[in-house]
Order: sequence, then structure tokens, then C-alpha cells
Amino acid sequence: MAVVTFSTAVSVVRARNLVKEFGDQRAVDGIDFDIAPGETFAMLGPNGAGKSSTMKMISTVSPVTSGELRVLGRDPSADGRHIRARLGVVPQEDILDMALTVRENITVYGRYFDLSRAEARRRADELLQFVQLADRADDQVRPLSGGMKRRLSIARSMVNNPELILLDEPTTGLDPQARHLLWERLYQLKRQGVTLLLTTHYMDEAEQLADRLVIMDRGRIVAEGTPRSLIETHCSRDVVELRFGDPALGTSGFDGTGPDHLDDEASRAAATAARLDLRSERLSDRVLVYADDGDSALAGLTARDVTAASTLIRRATLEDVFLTLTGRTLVE
Amino acid sequence: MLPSTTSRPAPADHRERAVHGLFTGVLRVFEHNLVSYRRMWLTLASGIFEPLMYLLGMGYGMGSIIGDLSFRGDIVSYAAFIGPGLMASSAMNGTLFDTTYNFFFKLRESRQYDGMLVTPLTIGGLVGGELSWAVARGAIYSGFFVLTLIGLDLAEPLHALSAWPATLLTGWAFGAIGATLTSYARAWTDFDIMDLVVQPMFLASTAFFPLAVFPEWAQTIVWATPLFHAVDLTRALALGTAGWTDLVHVAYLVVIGLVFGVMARRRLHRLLLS
Amino acid sequence: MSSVVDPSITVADTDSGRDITAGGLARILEHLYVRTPAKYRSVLVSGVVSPIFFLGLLGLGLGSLVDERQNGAAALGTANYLEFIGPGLLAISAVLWAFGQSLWPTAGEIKWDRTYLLTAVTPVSKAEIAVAHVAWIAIRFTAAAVLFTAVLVVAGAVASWWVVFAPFAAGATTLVLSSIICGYTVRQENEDTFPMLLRLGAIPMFLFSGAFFPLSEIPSAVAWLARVTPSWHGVELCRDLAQGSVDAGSVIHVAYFLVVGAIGMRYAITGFERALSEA
Repeated sequence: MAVVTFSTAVSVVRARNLVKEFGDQRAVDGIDFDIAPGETFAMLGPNGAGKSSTMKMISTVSPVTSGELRVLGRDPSADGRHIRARLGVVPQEDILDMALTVRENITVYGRYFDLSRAEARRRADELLQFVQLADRADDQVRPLSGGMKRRLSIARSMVNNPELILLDEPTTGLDPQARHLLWERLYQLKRQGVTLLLTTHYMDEAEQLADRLVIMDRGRIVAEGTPRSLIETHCSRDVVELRFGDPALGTSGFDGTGPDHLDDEASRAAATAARLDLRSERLSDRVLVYADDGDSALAGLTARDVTAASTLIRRATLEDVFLTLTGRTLVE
Repeated sequence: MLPSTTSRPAPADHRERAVHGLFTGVLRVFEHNLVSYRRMWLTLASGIFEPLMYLLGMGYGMGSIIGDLSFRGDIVSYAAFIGPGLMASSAMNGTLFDTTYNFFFKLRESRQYDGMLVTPLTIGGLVGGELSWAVARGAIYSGFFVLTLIGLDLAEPLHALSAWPATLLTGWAFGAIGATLTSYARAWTDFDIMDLVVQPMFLASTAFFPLAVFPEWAQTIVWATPLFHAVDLTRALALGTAGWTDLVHVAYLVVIGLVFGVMARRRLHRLLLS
Repeated sequence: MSSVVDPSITVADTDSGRDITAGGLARILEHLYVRTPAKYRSVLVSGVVSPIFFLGLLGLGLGSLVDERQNGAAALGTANYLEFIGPGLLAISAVLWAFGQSLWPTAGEIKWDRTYLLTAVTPVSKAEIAVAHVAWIAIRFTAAAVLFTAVLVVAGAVASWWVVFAPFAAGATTLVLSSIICGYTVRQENEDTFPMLLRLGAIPMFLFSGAFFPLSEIPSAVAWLARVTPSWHGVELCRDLAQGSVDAGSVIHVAYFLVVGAIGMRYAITGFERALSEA
């Protein structure tokens, strides 16, 4: 892939102090970001973070309350048609037409972009091939699985050869196999130089697909960067997870819900970690200890009589970054 | 002292049990509907406008270009003529709507009946209960009609009141028909056929013009339709010209109610319990 | 594997600057046509079969009562009752179709089907979606109206060749009424008020628009209220055309449709714009 010289003048999407208000609610509270051509950009955050509202403004459907937004170099409020003609949209709920066949869903959509019927049909077949639905082209949409419907939705979004594709929570509701198949197709798109903007609340999705991402919470951007840089900046390399009590007996909760002695255990673990100069977080069922070397951290804790019912050493993820920055988890 | 679950001996006879079950079943379903419709009281209450509007519109509007009509020897205004006719057909429409669209929704879409039948409720209780509710709803609208007829001086109060039970009978008969249709329907569009049959029946039922307007051969066809009987009976009672011959109308409607009621119950039994 | 990035597909610049273009409307109408199931059946039933029942049974039944009275036909202004009620039924079915299509089915499009939400991210504008939606309701009825007008001619309820315009008068009635009702529907959170709208809107229009009896027969207060409604103008215009009594009064009806139609359409457009932005 060619190296792209990044300059704001050719940003595919550019937002400065972007605000979206509904009455006196601020769904998007003054955010700034740029998306470069050819990159895969993700907006990671829990439900209600303002991701979908931002997407709706970028797709020109929802008017901007204040701030600056440029999509493909144009102003959505003035040049909506121009932008939409070059956009591909994969909505969260697919919005497939049950009255039409699989292929028809694409051809009918293609007509909106002034493709001739022959062109639309040719393009539909090409795209169905790409998402591996070519053998279902003449089938009804209703019996398709969730993953197939999503793939059809992606194929449809490409009918007009868009410069930018918006994907709103593309793998929400899909089983693991469907998710991986979808990621694989999106990889292919990436490799062909298509600019992708996706929103998600799955940290593994953001880590796998995104070149760069922003972490959003309550309408604001709390962090920005590549997945690697975010983890390195805001987190340690490893995380030690400590669980106290026996989850099977329902005694593992210790923020006031479980037996007192478990609460004490957790507090002791956190205090011990602090003495070792390690940051820790208490969740409702675990204590997380952040260290660059998980093994030695756990050894150090054990040496100081911290005994947990179960322990786990893993790499830090974007979920940990989110937790560090906001004190909450991505999935409530 | 703890309440004893065996203080009442269980009904030994299976028929006795069925009747007991039927009665409480009907009551339960009726109660259930009452709660569901609590919020729709406003819509229900605004239903008083309809009879008023139809009588003012068709009754007086048409009446001024049609003049008076003769019914069984009496001369009556056009409004007085169509009033009871509209009352009977609104009883039909009311219960038909309830036992088709509402019934179908509960049966197929929300699957409310599957849930209800897990309780001691029997099919007989279910059908009886839903039918009673439909008839009760129809009875309220018919009540508005009776009041309107008396209020506009289109019928003697006692005669108008005597017509009210006829609308209950009408409601029951058509409710049974509706329930049977619904038990056979497989999709919403199946009801289009019903609309296609009800509409001409309604127009030709003599609600709007007397039977004598029709040629002989057509009169026989009209006589065969249930709504004609409902209309003629209701009108005869409301205008005070009812006679023994009107028992034919009553018999016709009763037979319809029984036959279709049994059909509905049997069909639903097969649908829901096997 | 081959690339799905296809440089041969370039979308022309459609920056006409106007909110509503013929091209945009055509695209949406094409889509609506393709996705409407059983387009013909409901149109035939509502537009032809049902009015035929009314025409045959009420027209002839009531007609025989009216025509045999001395003062009956005179008040009508037509040769007989059939000629009076025929065009009235045409206009009244336009009214009922407008109500029928603009309430629950329209709410369904926005809330359950949501197709328009997707259409909103294509190059067409939300204003075009609104206009196309309302127009599609009117177009389907106009097709049925053509058939029904033919039935009227065959039944002898027509006295003039002007009647060829009657389907369009009826279609205009649907268009004007639908634009207003759709504008209302898309602004609602739920369908609770719909039955009330039928009761207080559709039924009075059905009864008091002069389809079954002349307005001269009802109190003048009600009559003046009726003259504000699209249904009355539709009935009057259809009857004028069927009778061949096209005059200044007919022009006023047309003007009414143009003015109220423009207002109604604007109301629908702003409603759709809001509903599709905030969904």
C-alpha cells in the first residue's frame, strides 16, 4: 500500500469542535478528529457514547448543531447529495428489504446512484461474489442468517464504489464465526485502499481492524491513537486478574454484595499492589493489577500473602485503556 | 389456622367440572380484557359520536331528499327508518372487528392464548370469554345508539330499549362467525375476503332502504343473509311493530350463534391444544 | 482475488442545489413500485370493487327512493340519483384511501420497515422521500380511479366527456389529503390517536361532503365547515366534470387543490425531514 502523506487538506472526514444536541442533551460534546484516505478508523465506546450520533452527522442525515464537519472535503449541510453519492453506509440494523431477493436488494439500491439496470446487476453479482453470497443471489432475504444479512448489507453499501464506508457496529449480534468472516472481508477492503469508518463497543474489533481509533465516552473523545500506542500510553503491557471467593457459590462479588472477608482480601491485594508501585482497579468481581511484567508482579503479590481463588495473566487491551480513563467498562 | 386446600371436595362429575370451569373461565377472560382496555376508555367514549353522525348525516341529509318511508304499514321518517338498521350493523361491525383483527392478533402474533391456556382455562372458557367481551363492547355502542334514538325522538323510549337485546343477539351471532373465520385465517390478508363479503351485505341489508326496492329474485338472496335478520328484528322492535313472525329472525340468529360458536370452539381446540 | 473497487463506476455530480428534482422523485417511485407487494389487488378492491358495491346497491337502492319523489331529484341538480352519487363515490373513495394509507401503513414505514432511513443516505433528499411517499399513495389510487370512471361511464352515471379528467380530480383529492395526514403521522410517537382521527376526520368527511346528498340539506354551519375540506372540493369537482358543468366554481376547486396541496406537502416534507433525521 502506498504511503499516504497525511495533510488535513485531504482528510476524508474532518471534525472540529463538533457538537450534537437533542434539546438540552449533548450527545456529542465538542469532538475533533481527522480520518485519512485509505485508513480504517474506529470509534470505540459504550452505548450512549455518541458514536451513532456522530455517524449520522457524517452520513449527512442528522444536522450538525455546532462546530465544523467536512466529509470528502464538503460541508454536509450544503453538499449533502454530493457526499451521499460517494458514501457507503452499513447501518446497525441492516435495513434489508424482505420483499426483494438478495440480488435485488443491491440492484434496487444501485439505481439510487444512477447506475443503469445492467450496470447495477453486474455490480451486484460482483459484490455478492466478494461477500460469498453469490449462490444465494436469487433467494429471499428472510431465511438468511444474521451474518449473511450483514454481509449482504456490506455488499450493498459498495454498489456505488464509495470513497468512504461507514459501518455502525458491524459485528454486534453475530456469532464468533460470523464475526471472523466479516473481519476477513473487511481486511480485504482495507487492502484495496477503501477508507473505512466503524463504530464498535468491542475492543477486540477495534484492535484487529483499526489503523487508528478514538475512544469515546459520554459524547467526548477521551483518547486517540493507534491500538498499540493507546495501550502503551495509558496502560501497562500486562494485566494480572485476581478473583476472590468461589464464583460458583456466588461469593465472588465484593463491593458490598458479598461476605466481608472477601472485601478485605480485595482491599489488601490492592494495597499490596500499591506498595509494589503497581496500579490496580477494583471491579465488581475482580481486581486488576497493571504491570509490565505480569509474572513477576504476581510472584511479588503472592510473596506478600495475597491469595486469590483464581489468577490470570494477560496482555492489556483497549478495554483496560477505557477502564483506566473512565473508571467504567465498555460493556455495562 | 392455615387455609385448607382440600376444604372443598373436587367436582367428581367431569361435566360439572367443565361447566364450573367454563363459567370462571369466561369471567377470567372478561376481566383480562377489562384490564387491557383500561387505557382505551377515551377511544371507547368517543364512540358516541359515530351513531350521532350517521343519523344526522344519512338520516337527515338523505331524509330530506327521500322523505318518509312506510314500514309494515307505519309511516316513518327516513332517520327513524335507518336508525335501528345502523344500530344493528354497528353491533355487527363492532363484534366482528373484535373477533377478527383483535382475536387474530392475540392468537397468532402475540400468542396470548398459548400463555392463557397453560392456566386452568379451557377452550370453552376462552371462546366464551372473548365472545362475551366482544358482545359487551358492542352492547356499549348499541347503548349509545339507543340513547341517540331516544334523544333525537326517532323512537319511543320503551321501544328503543326493547331493541337493545336484539343487538346483543346480533353481536353474539356475528362474533361467533368472526371467531370461526379467524380460527381458519392464516395471514392478515385473509380478512380481505371477509371485508369483501361484509360490505355488500351491509349495503343490501335493508338498513338503508326497504326490501321492496329489490326485485323478487334479489329479495330471496337478501333474506338469506344474517344481517338482514338482525336489521329487520331491531327495526321492528324499535318502531314498536314487532310481531310473532319476528321470532324467525331470532331463531335464525340463535342458530348462527350456536353453530358458529361450536365450530369456533372445535377449531380452536385443534389449533391450540393439539 | 479481484478488486471490488471499480473505477468505472463514477457517480455524476448531482449538485442541482434544489431540494426536489424530477430525477430524485423518479428514483424513489421506482423503488416503491418494485417493493410494493400485490400492488394491483388492493387498488382494485378499494378503487373498483368496493365503489361498485356502493354504486350498485346504494346508488340504485337509494336512487329508486329518491327518483320517485317529486322533490327528490330536483334538489340534486342532476338527471337522477345515480348521476349524483356516482362521481361522489369516486371522490369519497379517494378520501377513504388517503386515510387508509396515510395512517398505519405510513407509520409502519418509518417505525418498522425503516427503508426510508436507508434511502436517506443515498443521493436523494428527505424532501424527495416525503413527496414520493405521498405521490405513490395518490398514483395508486388514480390508477383505480381510471377503472372506476370507466365503470361509471358504462353504468350511465356520466353526462359529459369532461369525465376523463375525473380520475385526476380524485387523485388530487388523495394527494392533498394524504400530504396533510402523512405530515401528521410522521410526527407521532405512537398510533394511539389514529382511531380518533378516523372517527373525527374520515367519517364526517364521508358523510357530509355532498357525496350522498347535497349540502343544501344540512344546517349551514356544518355546510360551511364542509366547504373547507378537500373531500368536498373533490366531490364537487368530480361531479362538475361528470356532468359537464365546468365553470368558475370548478376553477376554484382546482385552485384550492393547488394552494392546500402546496401547504400540505410542505407540512409533510418538514415532518419527514425531522423523522428521518432523528430516528
